[in-house]
Amino acid sequence: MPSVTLTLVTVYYRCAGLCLMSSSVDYYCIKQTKKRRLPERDDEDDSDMYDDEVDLFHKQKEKILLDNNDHGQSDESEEEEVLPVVESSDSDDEEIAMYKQQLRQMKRMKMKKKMDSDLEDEGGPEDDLPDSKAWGSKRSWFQGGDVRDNKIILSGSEDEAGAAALEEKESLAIQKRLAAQLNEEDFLLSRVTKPDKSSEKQMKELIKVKTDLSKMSRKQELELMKKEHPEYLPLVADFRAKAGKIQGTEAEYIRCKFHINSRYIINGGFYMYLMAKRSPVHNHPVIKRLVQFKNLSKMLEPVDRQVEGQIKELLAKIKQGEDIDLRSSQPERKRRKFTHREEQLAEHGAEERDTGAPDDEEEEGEDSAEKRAITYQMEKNKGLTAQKRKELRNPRVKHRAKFRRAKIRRKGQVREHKPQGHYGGELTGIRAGVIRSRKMK
Amino acid sequence: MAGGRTVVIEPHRYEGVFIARGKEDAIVTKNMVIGESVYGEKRMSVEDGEIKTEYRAWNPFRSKLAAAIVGGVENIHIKPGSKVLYLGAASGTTVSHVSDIVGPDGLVYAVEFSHRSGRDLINVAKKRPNIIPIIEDARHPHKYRMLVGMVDTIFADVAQPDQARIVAINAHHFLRNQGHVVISIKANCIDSTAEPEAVFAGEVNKLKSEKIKPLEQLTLEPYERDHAVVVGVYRPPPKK
Repeated sequence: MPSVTLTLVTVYYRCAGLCLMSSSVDYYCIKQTKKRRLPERDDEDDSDMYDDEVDLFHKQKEKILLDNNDHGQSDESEEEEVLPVVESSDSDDEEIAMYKQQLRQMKRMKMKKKMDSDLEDEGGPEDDLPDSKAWGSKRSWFQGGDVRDNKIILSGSEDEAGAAALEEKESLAIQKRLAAQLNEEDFLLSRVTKPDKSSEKQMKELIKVKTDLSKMSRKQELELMKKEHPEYLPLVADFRAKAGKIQGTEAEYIRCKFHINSRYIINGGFYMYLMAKRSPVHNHPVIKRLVQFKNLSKMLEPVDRQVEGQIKELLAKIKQGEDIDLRSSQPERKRRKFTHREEQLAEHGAEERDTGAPDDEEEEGEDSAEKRAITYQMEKNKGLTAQKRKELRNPRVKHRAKFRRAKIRRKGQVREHKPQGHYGGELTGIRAGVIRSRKMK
Repeated sequence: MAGGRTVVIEPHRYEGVFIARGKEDAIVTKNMVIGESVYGEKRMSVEDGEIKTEYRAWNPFRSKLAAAIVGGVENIHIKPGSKVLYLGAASGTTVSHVSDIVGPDGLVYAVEFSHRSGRDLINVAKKRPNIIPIIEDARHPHKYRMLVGMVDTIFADVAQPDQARIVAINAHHFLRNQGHVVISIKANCIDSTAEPEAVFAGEVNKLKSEKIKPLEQLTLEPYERDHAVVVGVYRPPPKK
């Protein structure tokens, strides 16, 4: 092929050169043809040109080796060979193989389009990466690998991130695979619960007991219950009693008692539920709670006796349909004081609400809404500066004041000339003893 | 010092000079010629029994010597009986007061070059026998050397750039040893560009070079601008 093109081109330029009839044009033509030919040049051509037989043999050997190595990479090489320029396409067998591979690739592409994009990354056998199961056997080789990666790829940038993501996916896949491999047997619980041959008999007995329970008479059941759970019956009795007692919140004062009892009942209910389920109760915290609430109700018993009469009265009143202020039972004086104060407070509160409170709220709202402005101090950023007199701010004024003061001082040092029209005498008097002259030596 | 008011006359530190104390104080001299004013100044007459004395007011704004006295110079070295050479006498206003001070025993040689003012001076001198008017240039003392004898004090108010030299020549001619010199210096007349203090210092140095030892210096504010009175002694006794 290339040789044909060469000849064609040369012919074309020869024709053009006929008109010009110059050697330079010919040379140009040759140059052009060479340039055209260069990219199409083949290895074999090279070998023809420069290599002898020995070199050829070695090259062949290398080629073979590369082919053997490139089982994984064959895919990529085939991709490149979609439009092969190489002469090796001479033989029909190879062409057929190539077309087959192309077909396979097409199919794979279709599959990929059909499947999720996740599958692309999973890496089938055709991927250039080695098999995913061919990773190392140690976990530590792959965990905390980011640091190692960083060391290896110092200036990785994009590649680094990509590599990290890839590794993460790979590790996740491995984890999944490992998890899939695990059976129930591998977990400790199942191993514990797994019946040993030695304890199989006991298990059979237990099962027997359970099956017997349904056939037992009620008395027998009760006896068994008493044996196994001695606390059950009294608890149930207590539960019934208290559940019957509390059917509503009659009085304020009973609230405490009501709470205690209700909690007790709830816990008791839960206890009975557990018993019904036949789950082990002996070490269950619900029993501790039951005991606690029982004790509390016992502590309340003396108070119950004290208040019993009052409650009865109240109940009677309620039945008659009177309104009862529960607080009225409290001592009057305290109540009055309290009410007085409350009223004052209430008045104040009302006023505040009328005047100040809403404004404050609004202000707060505004403050929170917009950013606080910086203070004058922040804005000026003067630091620690000494307080200056106002006079010193303007240098001109400063000098003016200075001159004024100096003039006043000079009045005492040197007398000024004051021309006078009419002289009547010395207004300030004359002192005969005064000597103002300057002595000279 | 208003008329009709009671005014107390008391002597000043300097002999022949008095202070009239009234509403306003003024220095006065005893009038040599009673009942006459020289230049329209006020007079105060005091009657002590039969003896009637008259005092003339001395205006410091018109006379440098009066300004020096009111300003507080230590000594004017003019007293009754002393002989004074007065250089730059002008119309003779101050000269009349000096003649009052020195009295009938003293003498005042009043030198004035200007004929116009000299005429007034001569008129003053006509009434005062202790004034000898000399209308001559003070730069040439040999011209009036025949008139002037030995003097105790030279007072100079010539206002000339070579004032110190004029004073020195006259001192060399007529001033006795350890006699005094009272000079009024007008700074503007000597060097109008220089500072008054510098001019005064320069004049003092000139006097020093002419065997006149300066004793004291006094500026004449508020009566005169940039004036100073320097008092010196001629040929002082050597230090022991």
